[in-house]
Formats: sequence, C-alpha cells, structure tokens
Amino acid sequence: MNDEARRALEMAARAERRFRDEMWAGLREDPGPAWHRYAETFARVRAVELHLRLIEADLARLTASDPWTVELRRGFRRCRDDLRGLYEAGRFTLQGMELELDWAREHAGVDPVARAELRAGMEYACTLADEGARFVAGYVGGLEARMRALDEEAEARREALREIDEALD
Amino acid sequence: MTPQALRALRLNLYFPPWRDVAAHLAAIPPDARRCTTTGWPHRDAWLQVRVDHDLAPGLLERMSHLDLPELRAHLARSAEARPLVEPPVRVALVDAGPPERWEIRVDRLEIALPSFVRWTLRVDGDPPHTDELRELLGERGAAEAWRLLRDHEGLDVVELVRGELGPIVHGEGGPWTSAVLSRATRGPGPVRIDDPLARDLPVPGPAQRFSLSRQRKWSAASDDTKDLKRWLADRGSRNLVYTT
Repeated sequence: MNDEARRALEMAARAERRFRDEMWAGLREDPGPAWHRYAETFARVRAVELHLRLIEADLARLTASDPWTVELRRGFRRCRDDLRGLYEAGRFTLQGMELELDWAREHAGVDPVARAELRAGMEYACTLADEGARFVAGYVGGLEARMRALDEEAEARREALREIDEALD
Repeated sequence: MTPQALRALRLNLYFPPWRDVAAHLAAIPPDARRCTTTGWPHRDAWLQVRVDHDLAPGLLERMSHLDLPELRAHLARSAEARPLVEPPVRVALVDAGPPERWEIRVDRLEIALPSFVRWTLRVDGDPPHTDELRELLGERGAAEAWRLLRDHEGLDVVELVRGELGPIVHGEGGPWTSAVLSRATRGPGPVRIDDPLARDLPVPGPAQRFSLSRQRKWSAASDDTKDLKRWLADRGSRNLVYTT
C-alpha cells in the first residue's frame, strides 16, 4: 500500500477513535448535520466501490487479451489495491458514523449538557470524516488519470508492435 | 414492502407524496436490509438509489468497453430511477377574509430515519415564517405541535393535520403497511383515537379547547387480511384494511 492510502486509513482510524471516545459521552438533538456528512461519505465510498469493479474488469481484460503489457497490469493491480484500501477505510468510517446516528436517534432530547458535549465531539469527528472523504474523492480522480496514462502507454506499445510486425512482413 | 402496498392505502392529499416515495422505493431491491423500528428499507438502501442515480451516467460512459452486463443493467436502471426530493413549503391563501386564512403544507421526507410526514396547517392572520415553522414541527405529534403553535406569538391556528406513511408491521403472512392521519381542530370537540400502534398519546383535556382525532389504516396481501383484521379486533380497533 502506498503512503497516500496509508494516510487515508490512519485518518479513518483516528475518526473512529474519536467516535468511541467522545460520541458516547452525551446526546444529540438533531441528526441533520451528522446525516449530511454520513450521506456524503456514503456517496464517496460507493463511488470507490464501483470504480473498483471497473478496474477489476479492466485488469481481467488486459490479462486475457494482451500478454505483453506486464507493466500496465502491474500498474492496474496497484490502482486496484490502493482503491481497496481506500474503500475499507471509508467503510470503517461509515460504520462508526452509523452507530452514532442510531444511538443518537434512540436517546435524542434528554440531557442538554451531555447533548452539547456530544455535539462538539460529533462536529470534530465529522470534520475528520469529511477530510477523509474529500481525500478519497481526490485520490479516485488521480487514479483515473493514472489509468488513462497507462491506457495510452499500452496503445503506444501495441502500435510499436504493429510497426515491428509490418516491418518483419 | 412494495409500491403497490402504498397505492392500496388510497391516500389523500393530507398524506406525504406517496407516488414519489413509491417511485424511489421501486428502485430498492426487495431483499434490502430493513430498519427494525419502522419496517422501511434501511437508510443505506434509500441512499444507494440516490447515489447510483448520480454516478450512473459517468460510469456507463467509462465502462463502454467492458463486459459487465449485470453492473451495466443496474446502472441503466439507476439512471432512470426517480430519487425522492423534498418539496418546498407551500403557502396558499384559501380565504381572503377578514381575517385572511392561509393553508401551509410542510413535507418532511427523511430517509435518514426513515420517516415520511406531511403537515397541513390552516392559520388566520399572517402566515408564519416557513423555515421557523419547519423547525417548530420537527418530529412532533399533532397534539404536541398544536400546543406549541398555540403558544407561539402571532399565530392563530385553526386546524392542523399530520399524515404519516408507515410503519410497516411484520404480520404473520407478510408485511402490513400502515399510514396514520392525525387532526387537531380549534374549539372543544370529541377526542377520537383509533391507532393500535400509538402508545402514551397525549390527549387534550377540557381546558385545552381543541379536538383531536387519529385514525390509522392498513394494506396487506389478500391472504393476510384475515389475520390483520383479527389482530386489530384483539386490540379493540376498527381501522380500515385494504387489499394490495
């Protein structure tokens, strides 16, 4: 796993620790802001999940059709492994948020002091989760660019092979 | 839980836009995870319809060279889905008066819970600020909302109606889908409550000068209506039961 993916995992783990330490300390009044963050994170994790399936399919296609592009396959595999890491990190964050949402809904509106404490903790954790989610979105964009570059490289190689074939003929 | 079960309930305009809810629901797989308290599909299932709908066009273009028929079919269906959108608050003058009488309709369609509620208020005088009203109503019941609005400065509420879709109860032979309508009206009047799912419902006393009614109705598969009617009778309820 590369440094960027490791950073995303650490960020998600930090958010999870904050959930455990602070989320359970009090009660929340309104699931609104937490819900919006949850929905955003969910959308990004789902995007990673679907992109992962496309990369898997690309990798299978390349493996089957073009035995010459070892480098390209290696590159795609690296992309796939990075995406898997990011997907797991996102799911991890989502699970923490989901527990908090359920718990907050059950206990909403009881103790104002505890509620304020929870709100502060929630805001902090949401910020972390949001940073993680933004990072995931940016990273997926980067991966797409890398894949496009690899595709172009593969095409150039195929073209070179064709030229060699023609010269040999 | 199917869109047909909602259609069978024969819901009027005091209920949330059930056709929109049914359209979103139609895109959720029948085996999706359920919310244990409401019986609706879990919030993730509702969210996934919305997210996949947004992602589908880009992904379909990106995968044009790939042989993924199941994913392609899923994304094509997602692109055509109609995810639920919360409509804006509607304010209409229903009587020029004096005093002017306004009807205000507030929909709260929250897939986070999930909860689907429509409030319809008739007020005399100036209509209230709509954002403030939305906050005031929140997830309250009709009687509690009435007391809160009655004490709100400058607001003269004539009638308040709250329509809610759900919950879905797991019956003996399948799901029993329900919807409930609560109506609070200015002036002394009878309290008519027939809701076997209501617990600790606040009931107005004679000094509170408003009447309250709350009626639930149900839909179930034809094989299951006998069990549902027996279940209702055991609880002393005369709720309407429709067949899906």
